[in-house]
Amino acid sequence: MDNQKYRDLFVSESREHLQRCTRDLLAWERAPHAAEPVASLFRSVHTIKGMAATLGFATLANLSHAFEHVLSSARDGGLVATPDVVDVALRTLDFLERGVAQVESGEDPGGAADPLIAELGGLARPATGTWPIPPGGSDKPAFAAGPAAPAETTRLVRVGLDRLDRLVTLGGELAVGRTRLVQRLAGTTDAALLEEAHRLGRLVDEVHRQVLLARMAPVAEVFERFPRAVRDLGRQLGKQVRLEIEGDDIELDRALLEQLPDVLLHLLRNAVDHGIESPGDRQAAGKPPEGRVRLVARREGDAVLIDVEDDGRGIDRGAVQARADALGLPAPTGAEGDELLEVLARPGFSTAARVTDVSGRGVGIDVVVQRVRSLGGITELSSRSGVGTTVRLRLPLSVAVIPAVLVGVAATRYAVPLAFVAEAARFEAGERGTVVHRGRTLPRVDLGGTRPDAPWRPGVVLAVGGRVGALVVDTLLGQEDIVVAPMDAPRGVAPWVNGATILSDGLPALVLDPAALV
Amino acid sequence: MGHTVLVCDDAIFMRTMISDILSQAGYEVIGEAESGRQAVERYRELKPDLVTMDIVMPDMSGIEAVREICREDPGARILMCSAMGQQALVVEAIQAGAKDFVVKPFQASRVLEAVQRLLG
Repeated sequence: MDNQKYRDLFVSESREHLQRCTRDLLAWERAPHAAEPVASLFRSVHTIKGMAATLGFATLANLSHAFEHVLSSARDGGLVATPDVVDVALRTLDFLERGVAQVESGEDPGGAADPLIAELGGLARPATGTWPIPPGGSDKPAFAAGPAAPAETTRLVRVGLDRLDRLVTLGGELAVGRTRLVQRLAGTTDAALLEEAHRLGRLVDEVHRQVLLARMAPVAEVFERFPRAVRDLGRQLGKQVRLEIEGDDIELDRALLEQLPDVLLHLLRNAVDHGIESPGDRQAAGKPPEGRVRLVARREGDAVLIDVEDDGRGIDRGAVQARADALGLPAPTGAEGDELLEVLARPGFSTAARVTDVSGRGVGIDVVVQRVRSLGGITELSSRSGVGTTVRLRLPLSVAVIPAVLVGVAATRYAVPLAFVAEAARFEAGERGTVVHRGRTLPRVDLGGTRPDAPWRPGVVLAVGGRVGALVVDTLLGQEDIVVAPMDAPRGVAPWVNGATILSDGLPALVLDPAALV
Repeated sequence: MGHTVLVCDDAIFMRTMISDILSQAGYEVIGEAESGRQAVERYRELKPDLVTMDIVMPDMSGIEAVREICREDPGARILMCSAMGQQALVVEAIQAGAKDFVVKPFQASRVLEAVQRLLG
């Protein structure tokens, strides 16, 4: 008896339904008299009940039965979604979620559902009876199952992430090997050999691309949990907040995605706690009492942008100034968001700010900025007093392999991520610390070099968000796809180095962090 | 030759289970549907000897699907798979043309009994 197969199906299908339930429940709370969220909730809970009963999970079946009963009261028009009703419903979903997790880890779902069932019963006419469980106990469903019938709807396989990671690493090494081969063949006159190498190269590129794609997952996997979190935060803080999500079908490398929940949750908490005002304050300011937080993902070239945007009070520049003074830190000189962020992101700055139950001490915006930078991304901030604040994360699509420009400075080779290079150029020296390029004066970034006083030097224009700088070097060496190994920087490594890589000739190079340079 | 069956349920779990029960008993599950609308389309396409039909499904309920299928093929043999507490809906489904019903959670023997009775 292949009971495990049904337990697995139960887990994956229940999870899907529970996620949908949370969405429907929040939609119902927003429109307490709407029929469709209730109908959809009813179907999901009904399905969970049927599966749980079939597997003999009496607690989950009885709880879903009681919940379904509440929902049918709502469907018949006797019950609307007050915040209290939604609270009980959310706790019911939590209980079911825990049960599903227990089934997943091989246990049978336990815990006392009776208090919750009683609470649900208090919301509606009492449910009639309990749900019948087939005889024979939970591990022996009352049927014998044969071999799996081919299901038409599932065309997915589950692959361990470690296996996928191994493939990504191999794909990356293969891509480097291809580059190395092409370089070796640069001098050959054997046309057939060259053609073969190029054909192989294209295949390697495609394999590499497909392997990376296999690791991509939609941001919805992470966003899914936030509507609930924002609602609970709002309830806790006595604020009315609505979370709007856009672009949750945008895909990101799983390695990046795994780092996002903490970062985004922190930003959302900030938005609700510090950004959104109380309903009274909002009305006094001529705003609707309900605050709006938007979580928006979208593609822009090779980057994914994720915005956390609120329509709250904006960052109080006076308070930031005062705090900076008190801590003896340089205050933001201008009103620009990025300068403000630089001050806010100093370690200890935001953790020293007002402490509430919600935002608490501990992680501050500095951790967000650092985490995003370690993923090869950057954080941008814009805030207008009284209008709201937007934090934008600009993330690479994938962390595994990136195209880079190779430059030489004295005896060292550096790789500059191509995403931050606007163009390669020849820079004429300008006034102290600047260069003149295409008639514009740009700040000069100089890592040293053998000819500091030459009338012109090669280099690249770095563009990071809205910031631009001229990186002057000794030689431009070319372009290459590099595999970036995350590095715990040893003592003595410059702060603008954020990784190391092995180039196609087998020798190492340092990876520059343009965000730290301009 | 085994009889052909179309299995309609919005849960993969239930479809898999019903398919397992039926195929082990020698029936041939030739298709599945996860909504009422799909059930009607698949029925037209596959002309199965028997249909198992869930009641609560998105995009057209099982009862509406029964009504639609029986309008096109009055000889259709449809077995309702309902959850407990839906007696009123079962009656409605029988009036719409369903021939019999079983109640979830299933016991394989009950399902097979009902199927055998329907297929004569």
